[in-house]
Amino acid sequence: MPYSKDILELKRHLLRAAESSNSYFDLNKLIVDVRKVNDSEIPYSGLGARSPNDYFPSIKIIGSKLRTKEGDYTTYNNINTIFTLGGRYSSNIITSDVPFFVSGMSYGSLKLPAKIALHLALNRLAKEGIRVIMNTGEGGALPWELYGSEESWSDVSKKRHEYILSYTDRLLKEHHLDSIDRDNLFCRLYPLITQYASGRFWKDPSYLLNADGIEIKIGQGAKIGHGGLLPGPKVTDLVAENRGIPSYKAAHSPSRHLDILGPEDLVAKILELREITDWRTPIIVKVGCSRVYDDIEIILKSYADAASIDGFVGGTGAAPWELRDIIGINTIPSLKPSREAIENYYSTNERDEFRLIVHGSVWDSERIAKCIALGANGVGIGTGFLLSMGCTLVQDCYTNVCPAGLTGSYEKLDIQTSVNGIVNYVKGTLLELKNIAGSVGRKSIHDLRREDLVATDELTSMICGLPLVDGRTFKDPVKEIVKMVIDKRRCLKDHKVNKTLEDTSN
Amino acid sequence: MNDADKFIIRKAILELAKTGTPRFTSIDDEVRILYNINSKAINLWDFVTAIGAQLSRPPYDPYRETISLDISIGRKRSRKVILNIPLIIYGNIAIHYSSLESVHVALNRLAEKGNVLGLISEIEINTTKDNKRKYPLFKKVPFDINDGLEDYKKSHPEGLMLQYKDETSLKMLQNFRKEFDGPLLVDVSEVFPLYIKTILEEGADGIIVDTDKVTKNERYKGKHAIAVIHDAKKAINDYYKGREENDDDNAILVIAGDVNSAGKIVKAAALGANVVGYSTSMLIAHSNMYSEKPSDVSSIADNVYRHMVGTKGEIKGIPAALGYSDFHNLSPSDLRTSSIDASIQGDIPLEGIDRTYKEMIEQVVNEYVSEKGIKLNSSETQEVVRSIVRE
Amino acid sequence: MCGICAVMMENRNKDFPIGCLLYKMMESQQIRAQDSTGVAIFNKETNKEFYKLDYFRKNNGKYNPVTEKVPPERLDKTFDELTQDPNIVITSFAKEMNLLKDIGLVRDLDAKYKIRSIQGTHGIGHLRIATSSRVTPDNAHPFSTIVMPDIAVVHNGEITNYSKLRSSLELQGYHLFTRCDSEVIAVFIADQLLRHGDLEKANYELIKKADGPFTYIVATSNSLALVRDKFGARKGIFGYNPGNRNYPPFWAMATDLSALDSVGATFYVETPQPGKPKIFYNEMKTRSIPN
Repeated sequence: MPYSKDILELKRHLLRAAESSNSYFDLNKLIVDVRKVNDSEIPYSGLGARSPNDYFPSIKIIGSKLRTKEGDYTTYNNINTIFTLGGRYSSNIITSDVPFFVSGMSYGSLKLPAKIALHLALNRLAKEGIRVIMNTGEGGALPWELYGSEESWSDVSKKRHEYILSYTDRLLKEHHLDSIDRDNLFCRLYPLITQYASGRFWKDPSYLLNADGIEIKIGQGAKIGHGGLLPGPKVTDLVAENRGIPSYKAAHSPSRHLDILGPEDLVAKILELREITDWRTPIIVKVGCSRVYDDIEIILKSYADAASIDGFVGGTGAAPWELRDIIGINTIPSLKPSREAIENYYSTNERDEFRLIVHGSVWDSERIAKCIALGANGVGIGTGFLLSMGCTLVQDCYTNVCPAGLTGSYEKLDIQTSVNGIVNYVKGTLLELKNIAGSVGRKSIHDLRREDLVATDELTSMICGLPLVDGRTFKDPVKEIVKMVIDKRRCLKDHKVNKTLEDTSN
Repeated sequence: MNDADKFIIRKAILELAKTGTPRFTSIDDEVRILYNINSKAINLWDFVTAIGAQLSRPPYDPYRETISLDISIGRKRSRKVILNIPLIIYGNIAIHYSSLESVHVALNRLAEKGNVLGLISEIEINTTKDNKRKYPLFKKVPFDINDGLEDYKKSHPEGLMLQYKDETSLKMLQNFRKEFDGPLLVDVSEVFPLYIKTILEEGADGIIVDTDKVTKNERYKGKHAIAVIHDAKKAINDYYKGREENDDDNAILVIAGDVNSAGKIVKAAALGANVVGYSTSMLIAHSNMYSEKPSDVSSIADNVYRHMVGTKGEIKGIPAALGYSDFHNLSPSDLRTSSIDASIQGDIPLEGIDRTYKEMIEQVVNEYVSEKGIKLNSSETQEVVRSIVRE
Repeated sequence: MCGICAVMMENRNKDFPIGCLLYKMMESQQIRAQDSTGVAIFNKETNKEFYKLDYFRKNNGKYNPVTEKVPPERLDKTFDELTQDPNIVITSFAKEMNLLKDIGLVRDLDAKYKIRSIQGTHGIGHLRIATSSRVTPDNAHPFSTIVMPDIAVVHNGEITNYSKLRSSLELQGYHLFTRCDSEVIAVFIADQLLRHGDLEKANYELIKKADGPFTYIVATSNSLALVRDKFGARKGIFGYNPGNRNYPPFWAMATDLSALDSVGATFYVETPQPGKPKIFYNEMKTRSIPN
């Protein structure tokens, strides 16, 4: 963050005072206090929380290799990596050629060039036979996302058609992208999921009708229990127009859907959406990881096709700093209770096409594989895609300043380079996934099991229910200690008894 | 994101973005190597999080529902003092008069806007008719003054803070309790965890525990503030167990020390703190001393004021996100941890499995004894669990 | 937890099968919640000499219902024995109340216990969709308590500071059998009634102390109270059926209007103000809280 001189000076003084005080102050967090002194506002931050233990490095996949022999990127060409979504209650099914997809990152939070880069990259990948699902994020969809095919224009009035094209022109002109070929742009070859969040930031019914899937966002990992947030300076005129809100005023979404206060309201909402979409469109419910077992249990009973859980380290464009860092649980510990909730449900109900999707600091293929082995069906990636476009992780996404041109300073982003980056990231990750599955001896990425994993420490073994590296469970060393303690007690007791006998006989 | 990992993560993804081909090592392999080399020196607080409200419990919205932070200090027989924000400004920092003055002006401004906080201080600010104190002062009575009674009678503080050193302090407590009808808080940091029951029986309205001081004591060496807060709350609960007439007789727990950010305030409150002894406001006032061009009292007061407004917003938003309309309804069942140590010290359930480490060990012990056909009664089982957990 | 209902006969009629009215109301709301169901019906005609204790005995995951008739002099001893056994969950402590609950739909409950034919002066019913504790027969509503006989509570919503309230009740020596937050309402109200006997005051205390979105109905041997939390986050309405030559007049309460509709209780339909209990007494004139 390009902090002003005053702020930096204040921070310096505060640092010196803290260092020479008797109390303990977290020196890394003093900047939060400085910002409060500066403007009395709750300080925001971007991207994900600090988690000193996110468990991923403490899990190993036995025998897996990311890379096969030199010069040959994969010998495992026939590994199945297809992911499907829908079919439990919806008549349509979304198919993705990879088990991971782009998590919701809204237009507004991301600047236009970044969104266009994602759109073009996913189109290119789809042309090469790799369909990747995109999520619009909660800020509404861009015109070419909703009208990316001939049929999508069929019910649109002439007036509306003109408006959409004029809005597109204004969008592209503002970002010096007017030379982009409109036919190329208004083409969507990848599946799109639109996000139904509490702010309801869209005006066009095609947002729900032209989507391949709808994701009801109850919450996200970075700000569990808190609504979506777009700071005032980022609500430009064009962003405001897309969302139907006033410009340059902070957009606070309510912390809950005002019409969803409990499980029965969720049932009503999903049935309403089903009616609107003629029971065609798959519906996903997204929650942040907190009371995972209870939330998944409710989602299973609510006529949804899939549940999506987001660990508290998941990224965001803007969230209150402290709230982001302290609410929620990690991604890995959420998988076991989710699976348990699902298996308990299916112990009394017929098994069907319910899917579990997981988000939250899953950046590369090995992490994707670990999530799938622990029970996820698909994985959402957000920050990973930003990194492939050049993100430098300064976490100032809530401002208009971004060194990579993603969430601010959009003029810095080179679309072609970003598109190449995204395409390579997806292809490289796909190859690695095939190698991992193949080297472990599986024919499909979805055949990875808990049995293919080991934990390297006691805590991870306990939380994930995995054996330790030497094959024992966390219980075995504990039982050895239990034996020692009990034997010791018995010895002491016997010694006491003998002593008493001695004393009485003397 | 963890700063140490950022470089690894970025390097890995950029490599993929550049080549589109598989790498040699994964992010997790590299992170594992990194942490083998540098052992993580991270504060245990960072391993503790709170579980928020989503579906099974809906969140409240601070813009739609009133979130209450009020707390009343004073047991059944005492005059009550009400704070609108559960913080008492506390300084273990060398206090200059001008820093104290700035804090005083800021606290007055906050109180005028309906945000009353408390202050613990030995020195009282000279007030005139125009800047009279609008917030409660808990006047600190040092433990080596036996006749401090006369002094305090002249100054009329709203509350008193006594420091407990040893049994001799008991007499002082008894004398003050007889004479003073307002809230009497006793700082037990020097003697923790002893004497708490006695102090409460003598009618103290609350105890103050400075976690920084206590963790330097012999008895709590190697332990963290989490253990201190947990044990302090347990001591107060034990005092009330089985006692008749507990209605409206709420002795409070004030936790001071390293609880100086909104996140830690919430975690301490969930562990059992009713009020937090907050030192950052004093730090902000005091940092003026390190400036090349020190500002005047009024500007520093503005800084403290703005900082507190921001802090209030933070600590209001968090209970709402956890599903509570009252800050003081936070409880230990709202916390989870990703550290065995934190689970042992604070009885905090582990993430995902929602049981404490002790409970997991107890389950293993029960499994073992039933496998081996050994008979253990419940107190023997607890003893075995305790000795394992200590290992 | 999401469908609650209650009925009170206006003129203390005790022969009318109000179980039938409760059944109709619950059936109309069944789509909302299908995990478990329960009713509690009050009738002064039941045996006055003995206390009736209903409990589940857990055995290998199965919940076997047991009913015991206990004379007053043996009551304390019986409680001591039963509370020591971790496999016992006492579900009802009553003289005038008949509390029946189980997992499944309301028609399953009717098939088992013939609730449609149960007569009484007033009663409550509940349909559950679990939000935070497991779907087992002991977690079904209504909840009763061993603190006082003839108290039953049905609840829609969450008591978010449940563990705090529970620990403070346990500190006072009360025994709670389940981990369901609704049980705390019954014990809390019973504790309050022991202290001062005023149902209105007891409900005001709980509204003050409990956090979270909730609407509950508490029934005692001569009253029904419909209570919404201070924000009114959850629905709760009541209405009146003036009766005709086939049946006497009665008041009904429910979560949904459709439930009141199903029993024709569509006169004077109102919702209690958030944070203000609406109490019906089992007398000739119903007494309501002055606004």
